[in-house]
Amino acid sequence: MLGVSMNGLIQVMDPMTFGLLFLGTVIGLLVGALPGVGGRNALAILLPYTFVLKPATGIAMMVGLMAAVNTGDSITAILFGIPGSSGPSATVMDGYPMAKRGEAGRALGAAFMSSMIGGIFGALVLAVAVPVLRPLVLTFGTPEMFMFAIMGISMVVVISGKALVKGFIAGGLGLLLGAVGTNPQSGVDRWTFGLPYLWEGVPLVAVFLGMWTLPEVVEWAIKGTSMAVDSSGTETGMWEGCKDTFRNWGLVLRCSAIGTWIGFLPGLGATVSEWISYGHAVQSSKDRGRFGKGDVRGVVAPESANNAKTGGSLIPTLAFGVPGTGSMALILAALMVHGLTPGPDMLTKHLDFVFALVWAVAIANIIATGVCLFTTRQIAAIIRMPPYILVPMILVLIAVGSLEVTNQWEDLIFMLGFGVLGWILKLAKWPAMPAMLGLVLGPIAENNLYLATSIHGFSWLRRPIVLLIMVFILISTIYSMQRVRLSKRRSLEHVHQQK
Amino acid sequence: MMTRDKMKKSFMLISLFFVMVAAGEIWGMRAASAAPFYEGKKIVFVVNASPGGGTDLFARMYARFLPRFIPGHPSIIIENQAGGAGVIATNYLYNKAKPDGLTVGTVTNGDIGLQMMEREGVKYDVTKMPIIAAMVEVYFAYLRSDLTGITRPGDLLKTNVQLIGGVSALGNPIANFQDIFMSEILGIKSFRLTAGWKGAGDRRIAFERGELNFHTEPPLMYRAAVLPLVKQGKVLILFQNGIIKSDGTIVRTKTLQDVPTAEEFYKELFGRAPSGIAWEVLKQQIMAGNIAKTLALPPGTPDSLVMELRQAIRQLWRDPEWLKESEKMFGIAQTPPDTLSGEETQEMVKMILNPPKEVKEFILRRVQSK
Repeated sequence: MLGVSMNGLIQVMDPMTFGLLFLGTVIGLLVGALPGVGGRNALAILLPYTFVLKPATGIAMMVGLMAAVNTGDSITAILFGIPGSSGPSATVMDGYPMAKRGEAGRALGAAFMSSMIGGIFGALVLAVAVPVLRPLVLTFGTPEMFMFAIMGISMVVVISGKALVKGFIAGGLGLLLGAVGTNPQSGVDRWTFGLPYLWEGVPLVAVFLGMWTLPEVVEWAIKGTSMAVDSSGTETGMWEGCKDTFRNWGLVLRCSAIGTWIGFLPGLGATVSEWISYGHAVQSSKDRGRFGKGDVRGVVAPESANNAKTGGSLIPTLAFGVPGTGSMALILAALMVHGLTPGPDMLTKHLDFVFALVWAVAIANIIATGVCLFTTRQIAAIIRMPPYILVPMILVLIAVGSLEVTNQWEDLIFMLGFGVLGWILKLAKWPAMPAMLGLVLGPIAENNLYLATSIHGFSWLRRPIVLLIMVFILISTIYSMQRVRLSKRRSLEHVHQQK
Repeated sequence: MMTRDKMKKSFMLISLFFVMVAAGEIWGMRAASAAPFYEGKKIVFVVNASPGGGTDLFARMYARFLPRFIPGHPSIIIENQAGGAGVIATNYLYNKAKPDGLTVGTVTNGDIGLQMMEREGVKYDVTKMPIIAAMVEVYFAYLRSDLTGITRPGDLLKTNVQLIGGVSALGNPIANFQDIFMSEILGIKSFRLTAGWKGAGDRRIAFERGELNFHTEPPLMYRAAVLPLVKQGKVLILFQNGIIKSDGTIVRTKTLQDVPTAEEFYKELFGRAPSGIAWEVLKQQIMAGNIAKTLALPPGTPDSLVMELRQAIRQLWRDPEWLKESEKMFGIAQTPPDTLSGEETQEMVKMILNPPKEVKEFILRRVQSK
């Protein structure tokens, strides 16, 4: 095994391969940082070039790009509250408040370092798990997928803080929005108003940018001041952020494991892994008061999870030929053209190639973090720019980002419409994030619930892993609610004592 | 004062100048008309799906190879317009794109199916769009013999075991093919389809896991993933839909030479050829399943340009590199006899969209009953 692994490393360290891996990684960072370009668009453009290269070289470049996108998109998430193109990123929950407080450098440092560790962790697991990859993936059926989606949704309790009822209502609103579209089982259109645009559901990225990012930008424009309240630590906190990652090493490793695990399961996606990790960070902390207001652990947890996911998500692609995302589908296409058909043979006959990819993921993560740390000062300084320059710039990014999927005017209308809703929620101090969580995870949960029930009847409720997750969700929900009640009582007592 | 001679001289010079300019113009025009239409031009492929999917890869494959064979070697760029199950981009192609030969779009059998179902929001008529190329897709069906106890095709007719297959959505040609063939034509009462699966790959994992025990997919993973399972005694391969020709005959695709077509499978089981309304509907669904993806132009595009592009595709078929790569990418080499020409596809689209009345009623009734 070690010999094969070294063989893989030698393939990646070939000057041409390494050079293109570096190039792919840098492109990935740029694409990740610019909402609207999207990793898969970049991969689609790269695809034909990889056909003329050696398989390991071409595919290493693509994998490097994909791995670095996750690192790059934390930049815009932290600085401007703009999520990645895959959905609502949990990093904005604490990363963005940190930037507002003047700790952009620290937040970025923590994000980059934890991304790297997560990425390497994911690659390592991929390497170690090779012999058990296929049985591992086959353990999880539709009932388990449903339970994972529910676990993600249950994080509404965690992120709503004291505003539990408001959080539940917002989450419910998100679930309702997630139900819009043509139901695949019955073919019935739900609230599509005869518009083909809505057949596939509400446009996630446009809604997210409208509901979450636009109100932030508007508020900031109204204030007319520089974004960070106190920007003294903007450029200097980077090393502090890196140290934060190591201070919370247990959390980083646990969240990397969560990310890798969710990555194994095709169809769940980055959102589930990020939010389950975020929820885990909140629940496992003794002092959770600062979460949502700029706690560095809220950055470290989702960032390590989303980079770890890349290693995990290569597994269904390589071992079964099942791409979990559009990006993976493009990598699969590149494999096919090179005559490397995924499947059982991949893990026996082409093992050195699998290891080359493992190394590519790990090295891409190191390069990405290196490049980012090197430029953090300059990146963080962006938010010192006066609002009359930054606000229009971000508005353009939001508009272009909304147009990513369909290139239709409706994308902009939706973004603006949900921007108004987001603004109202903001004024009324309602949390918008639970709505986003419901919107993304609702359809995953619904579909898997339907499939689980139509295949297994209700016997799926007795499956051991289902029961285990169920118990976990119940305990964590009750525990969280109990803590909220206790802290409310304490603050009431505190008020009484003061009187 | 200018002398008469001088005036004459300058007049002649000016005339000469104009003559030269005119000659130059004419010469230039000649040169321009001799240059191919597509020289220095840019063709946009409007893809009605997001990057990474089958439709996108199909368009990108053509975009990469085709410029070499079009006179003038234009550049081809891809523009993804996903959403609305592809209808948004197809509406755009039909109603808004200029018919100048510079916009080409992907039109899928999903779009054709939605037009046939007269779905609200569909504002195109595929029969009026010149088609230049098609990607033929063939599906084959197999089941878990270890879980169902079905080890020979004959067992299928006697089984009481619940057979569960999966599709992305009910009502598409692939779903209809399985449903009509298994339930109506073979008369297997215990056959059922579940809908909502993301793709063929997800269904194969569910199949290997045992959640599904019947599965249908394109031949892409036939050798790598399915044959090993046959060797292990876990899987029995049943039939393929096959490729239907314009004269109604159905043939096996090259990749699946050993797998009988649905028609042959029926003959083997019952000793006679299938017939009746259900079979007519099935043939129509096989046809719709075959022309999975097409490259089409806005209606009104000049015939000369359509011919030029179709000619380029005929030349592309002869390219050995195309043969090799398209087979690797799609599991079926996209050259005849495993693919259809633009003209053939056009005819088939007309047949699918103008079916005999009883065929259309049969399909609508089945979809509504679900």
